[in-house]
Formats: sequence, structure tokens, C-alpha cells
Amino acid sequence: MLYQPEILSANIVVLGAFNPAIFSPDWLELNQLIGPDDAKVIRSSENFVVTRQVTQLESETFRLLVEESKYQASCTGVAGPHIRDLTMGVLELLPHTPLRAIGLNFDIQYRFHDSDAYHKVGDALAPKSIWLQVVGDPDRAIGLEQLRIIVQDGKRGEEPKSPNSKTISVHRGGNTLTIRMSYNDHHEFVDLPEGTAATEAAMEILKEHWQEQLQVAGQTFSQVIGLAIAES
Amino acid sequence: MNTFPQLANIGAGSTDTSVGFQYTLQSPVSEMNIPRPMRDQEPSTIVNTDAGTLQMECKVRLPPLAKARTARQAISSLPNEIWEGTVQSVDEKARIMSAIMEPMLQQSISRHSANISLDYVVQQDLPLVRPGAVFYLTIFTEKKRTSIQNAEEIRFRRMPAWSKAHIKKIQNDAVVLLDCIEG
Repeated sequence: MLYQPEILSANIVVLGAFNPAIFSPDWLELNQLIGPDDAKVIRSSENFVVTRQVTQLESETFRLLVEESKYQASCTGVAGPHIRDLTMGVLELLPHTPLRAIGLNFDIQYRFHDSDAYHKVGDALAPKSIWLQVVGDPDRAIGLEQLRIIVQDGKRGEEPKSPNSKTISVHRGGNTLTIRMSYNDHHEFVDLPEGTAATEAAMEILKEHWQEQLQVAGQTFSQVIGLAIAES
Repeated sequence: MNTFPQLANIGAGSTDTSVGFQYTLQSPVSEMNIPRPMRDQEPSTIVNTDAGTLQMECKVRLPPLAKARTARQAISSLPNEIWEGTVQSVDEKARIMSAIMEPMLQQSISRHSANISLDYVVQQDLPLVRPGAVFYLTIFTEKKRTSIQNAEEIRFRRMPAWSKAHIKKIQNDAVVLLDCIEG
């Protein structure tokens, strides 16, 4: 095996206007979004902060960071749909929260057992021929550090049909042979049908798209790595 | 006076909803977003000033996020499959629940039915176990510094408690529906 996935994590980011002080473990527990044991873990966590400007909660399964303009729920353990349910619950409880956008994010880390295969990925995604000429010194190493591809509806050169987008990022790992990839499914709340609250639209996206995007992200990650290795 | 100070944030700031890789984040969330003045402040103290008035300095110390994140880096976890289960029945005596299981990651896997012991359900989720309840059975591989383990986790879905307004709306909808039925 040339490489294998090692970590898959998920998080949800919502942009809007929030009141971080609301997001206490007591409020979440009172509204049955977390269990009593979760609340205890959060309260005893060294990362526990609830203020008017920022709230940060961490349980065994999720981490919640809420600022005045941003809500972020992340998986702390194994990735799962519990952050989707938590976010849907929060939006249901706060239906009048003004929202601007929501992002469904998935990250993966691949560990390579073969350095040739590892370098093939970078060479396929960012061919070095131009850079070798620019640098002009064969004794200097040239490598791909980070790559970001944005996909939007519409043809190149034309105005995108929608502000929604999908972003796929590739990052070099640390010192070891690892490659990290991120997938962001970004939705903006513009031109909503009359009478539709942004929170309703956000809940619909979470309900209808989270699982689908989890699968799409997984397929995208393995396809990019597989095609890159095959191409070089 | 701005009656809705929060609204000032709408339309301002980043429109990016991506966060980058979470396990070894290059720009940790704490550094990106937590207001600087808070981070630099110390715990609360009261200072007696020369003017004879008491001056309160509000000092807040934020927890060491980076330390916690480093500790987690020792562990990596990869879900092999996430099953969404719907409880069909519960046998309290035998401490078993019957459920229909749908795979969430691999579409090629067909729907299964399962009998799962309640011993696998954490204490805080036991009150949620009833027909119709939804839970997630995650089968995953966890890698630590010195071992690799295959593990599974069951967590029940939690929904917000019904508010009085919610119940009132349902009652109103029911009245409207009844009126329509009765003509």
C-alpha cells in the first residue's frame, strides 16, 4: 500500500451575528442538545470559556467556538453527524439569528509509505518545469506547500452564477510523508425566497447536504490522490 | 445609539467558511479569532489608586488551547463506517433494542437490521432509547502512539426540547386542520 488515510475530521462554520454568552453548557443541556455527562465534561474542561465576546466549549465528541460573527462546531473525536445535529438544534432554538453563510468542512490526512508516490502527488498537481527554470538551480528543492482550487457554477471568465462554491485545498503535512486535504462546501444566504429565514435555509442545507457532502468529500480526496499518482 | 450592536458585524469581516486542517492547525482558531485584549489580560484584581477610588481591572486568562490540541495530535481516528440507526423496538427485560441501520459513508452497502445490547449505550443516552429514536453507530480505527485499535461508538441524536411556543403552534395548526376536515 503506497498510502492510507489516517484522519478524517469534520466541522461546520456559520457566519452571522451571534451572542456567544448564550452558548453555555447549561443552556445546551436545558434544551436537550447535550446530555448531562457532556455538560459535566465541558464544565471541567480546561478550555471552557463563556464570555460576551467568545464562548469555547469542549466535550469528548465536539468543540464549539462562538464569536460575535462566527459559530464553529468541530468534531474532537471521530468525525460524525453529531455536529450537524448540534448545529441544527442551535439554529432551531435561535430562529431569528441573522446569518450570512454556512460552510460544511471535511479534512483528511493521508500518510504515505513511499516517498516517490508522495512526491508524485505534488508534481502532478503543481508541475515543476516552470519553477525549475525560474529558480534555475538544480541543487535547490522545489516543493508544493499549499494549493487551493475553487469550483463555482458558471463558465470561466463569466460572472459566477452563484456565490456558493466548493474549495479543495491540498497542504503538505509536517516533516513526515503526509498530505492533508480540506474540502469546503460554502453556501451564502442571498436571494432567499420571501418569508424564508436564513436559519431555515441553513437547517435545510445541513439536513439535505451534510451527509451527501461527507461522501463527496471522501470521493474527492481519494480521486485527487489516485489521479495525481496515476498521472505522474 | 445602536440598538442592535450585533448587526454591525453583518456584512463585515471574512466571508470564508473554511477553517483549514483541524488537527494541526497552522493558524489556530484561538489565535485567529479571540480578541487580543482579552488574551493579554490577567486574572481580576482590585487596585487602590492614589485618588482614593477603587479601580477594577478585569483580567481574563484564556485556557491553553494549543496545549490541548497538541495532546490530541497523538491520536488519529478514521471512521470506517457510520451507521444511522432508527430504533424499532426496545426489550427492557433483555436489555436489547432492535434497529434499522442505514450506512452513511458507503452507498454500496445495503440497509441492515440489528439487535444491539443496551450495555453499549452510554448512561446519559439511555432515556432517549425508545422507538423512533435515531442514533449513530460509528466504527472507526483509532491510532495512538503505540497501538492501533478498532473501536465503535454509539451516540443518540439529540433534538431541542419543545418550547411552549412550539407546542402552541402545533395546537393552532391542529385546530386549522380540524376546521378544514370538518368543513
